[in-house]
Amino acid sequence: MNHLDTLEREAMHIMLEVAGQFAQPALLFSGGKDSIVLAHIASKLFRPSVIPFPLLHIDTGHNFPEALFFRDAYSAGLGARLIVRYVSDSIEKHGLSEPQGKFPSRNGLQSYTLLDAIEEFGFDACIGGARRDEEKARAKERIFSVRDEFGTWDPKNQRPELWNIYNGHIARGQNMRVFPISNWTELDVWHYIRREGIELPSIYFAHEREVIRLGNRWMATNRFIQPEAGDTVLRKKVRYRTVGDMTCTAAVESEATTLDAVIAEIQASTISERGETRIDDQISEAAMEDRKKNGYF
Amino acid sequence: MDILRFLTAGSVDDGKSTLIGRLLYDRRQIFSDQLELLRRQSKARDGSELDLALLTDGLRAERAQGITIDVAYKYFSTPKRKFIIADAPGHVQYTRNMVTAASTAQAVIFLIDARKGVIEQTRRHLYIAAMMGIRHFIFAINKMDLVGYSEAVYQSICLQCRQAVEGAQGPVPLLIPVAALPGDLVTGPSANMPWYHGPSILQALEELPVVQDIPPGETCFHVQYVNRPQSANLHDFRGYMGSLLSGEIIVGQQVQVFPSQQVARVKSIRMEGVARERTLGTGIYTIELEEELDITRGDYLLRSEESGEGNTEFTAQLCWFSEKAGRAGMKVKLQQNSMLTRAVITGILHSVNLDDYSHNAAPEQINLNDLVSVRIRTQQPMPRGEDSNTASLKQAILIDEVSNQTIAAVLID
Repeated sequence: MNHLDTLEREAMHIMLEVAGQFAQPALLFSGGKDSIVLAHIASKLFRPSVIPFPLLHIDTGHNFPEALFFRDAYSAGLGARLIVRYVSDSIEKHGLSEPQGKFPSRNGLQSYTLLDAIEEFGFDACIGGARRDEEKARAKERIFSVRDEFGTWDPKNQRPELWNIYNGHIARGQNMRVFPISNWTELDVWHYIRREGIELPSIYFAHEREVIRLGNRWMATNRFIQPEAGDTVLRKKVRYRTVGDMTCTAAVESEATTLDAVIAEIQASTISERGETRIDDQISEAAMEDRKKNGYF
Repeated sequence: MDILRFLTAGSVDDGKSTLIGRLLYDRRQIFSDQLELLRRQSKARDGSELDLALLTDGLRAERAQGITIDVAYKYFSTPKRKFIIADAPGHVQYTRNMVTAASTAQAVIFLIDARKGVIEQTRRHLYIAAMMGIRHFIFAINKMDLVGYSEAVYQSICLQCRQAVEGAQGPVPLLIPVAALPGDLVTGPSANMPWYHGPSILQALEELPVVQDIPPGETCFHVQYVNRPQSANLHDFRGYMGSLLSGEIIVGQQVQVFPSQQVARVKSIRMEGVARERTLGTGIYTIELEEELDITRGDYLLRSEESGEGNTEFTAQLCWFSEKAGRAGMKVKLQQNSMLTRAVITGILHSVNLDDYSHNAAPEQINLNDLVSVRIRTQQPMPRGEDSNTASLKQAILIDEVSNQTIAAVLID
C-alpha cells in the first residue's frame, strides 16, 4: 500500500474515533495547508453526508486576506459550518495587552480565544493539523492530547497510546486536542495535495510582494509591518511555505507558480519549514514547548 | 513507496540516539537550521563538534539531563520507503514507553554495545518485543570502532544474541556490526569491516518484507461511528462507519451484530462516498443495513453463522502503566477497538521476572512497569479472538474509572 494511503487511512481512523467518542468536536481550520488537508480528509471520510462537526477559526486579525478568502470559500464549498472567533475580542474581554514592536505577533494570544471558544460552544475535542516533524516538542506529543481547562499540555503525564486504540475519556473542564496528521511530514502533505488535486490559497505560489529583510528572511510589508529607517524595501517574487500570521510568517524567494515547482523547491530546500518561515520559533530553544504548555495547539 | 514503522531499544549509553541521528543525518533529513542549533547545543554542553544524540531530545528536561523521558517520533525516507522511528527510552523504569512504541512497530532495532554484549536490559527489551508480536528483530552491534572492528567480538556477540532471542521466543534476528558515531554500516558499507558481507542498517530496513494487507478469514467489522446526518437529502440515512479488520463484506449478505446477535442484510457499502458491491481490503467503510436495528459504536458486524456468544471471562497479559498499584477485585474500563466495557481483574496469576523470564506466582499487587498474567471478567461479552487472524481482537487497554488514565496494555490469551 502506498504511504499516502496509509497516512490518509490513519487520519480517517483518528477522525472517526473523535466523531464516535466526543459529543462536541471541532476542526481547527485556518486556511493553511495542513488544516486544508484535514478538512479534505474529513469531507472524504463522511461522504455522502457533510462533516458532522463545525470548522473553527481563531482569527488573529493579522491573517493574510488571501487565507481568509480561501477559508470562507473552501468551507462553503464543503457545506460545513464555519465558526470564527476573534483575538481582538479576547484582548478586550481579558484586558490583554497588544503585542508591541516591529513584528507585533498575536500568535501567543490565540490561546485565550481558543479557550474562550471551547467554553462558549462546549467543545470537548479540537482536531488540529500539527505534525510531529515540525518541531521537537511536537515530536513528543500524543495523537490524543489531554488539556486541562487552561489548555495546558503536561508532557510528563501523557497517556500511552497503544496500537490504534485512542482513549478519549476526559473529565469535566478538560478537553482533547487531536492531531490526525501527526505522522505526516511536510513533503507528505504536499504530495497528498498534489495527488488529491486540493486547492490552496494563492500565497502558496510565487507572486510579487514588497518585502524587507529580516536576518536571512523576507517579511512582507503590510499595515502591521512598516519599514523603518535603515530597512531596504524591495519588490521580490516570493511564496509562503507556511501560512501563519502576517506578523510572524516570513516569505520565501521563489519562482514556483505551480504545485510541481513548489514541491521541487521544497525538496531542494536545506532549511526546515518552521526555520525558514516562522520568526516566533526563534526566540528560544523551547519556544514551542512553552507555548504548548500555555494552551497553544 | 510504503511505510515501515520501527522502534529502537537500548540503554542510554548504547548509542541509540546517535544511530537515529546518523540515519537522519546521512539521509539529509536534518535541515541546516536544525544542524546549526545542534552544533550550538553540542558546543555549550561539552564542547563537542556535533552530538547527533541531541536530535531526539525534544523537551527541556531531557536536554538538561541528557536523557529521553518519552517516546519521540522521527521521520525519514528513501526512494524505497518512508520510515517512522519510535525512539523508546532505555531506562528500566520506562517499560511502558517501550510497550507503547512496540505496539505500532513492525520491526525493532536492539542496540548492543560491542564492549559489553547482551546485558540484562537487552533481555528485558527482547521479552517485550516478542510479547508484543514484533516480526522483525535487528541487532545493531554498535561501537565496533571501540573493539578494533574485530570479527571475533562480533561473532561471539552474535552467539549471545541468538541465544537471547531464542530464550525470548522471538523471530530469527538480523545481526549487523555497526559504528554509529563514525557511521560504519549505518547507511553504507564499511571499509573497516571487510569481513562482513551482510546489509547495512538502512539496507536491512529497506528490504524487510512488510505485510499490510487485510488478514483473510472471518468477516470482522467494528462500528466506530453511526452517521445519521438527518439532512433534507439524507433524511433516513443511517450509515455504520468503521474499519474492516478481516475478511470481506458483500452487498446482500447477512451479518450478525455482536454482541446482540441480531441478524441483518447488507444494503449498501460505501468508501469515501462511492458505492461498491463488496469491500476491497482494509479500510474505512460506511455500511447501511436493510433492517433498522439498534446498533451503536463498539458493536461488531460478524459473518452471521459464526459469531456465537463471545467471552466474558478470559486470561490476558498486562503491562501495568500506572503509579497506582493494581489488585484483584479492581474495577476498570476496558477498550478494545471502539468497544468499551466495564471489567474487573478477578485474579492475578503470576508476574514475569524480566531478568530471567521466571514467574512469580500470585503476587499481591501489580506495580508500575510490571508484566503480569491476570484473569479478567467483562460486563459485555468480547468477540472470541483466539482462533482469529484479527490481531486487534487480542489487544485492548485498561482505563482507570476515576482518573481516566490508560493504566495497562492488555494482550488477550
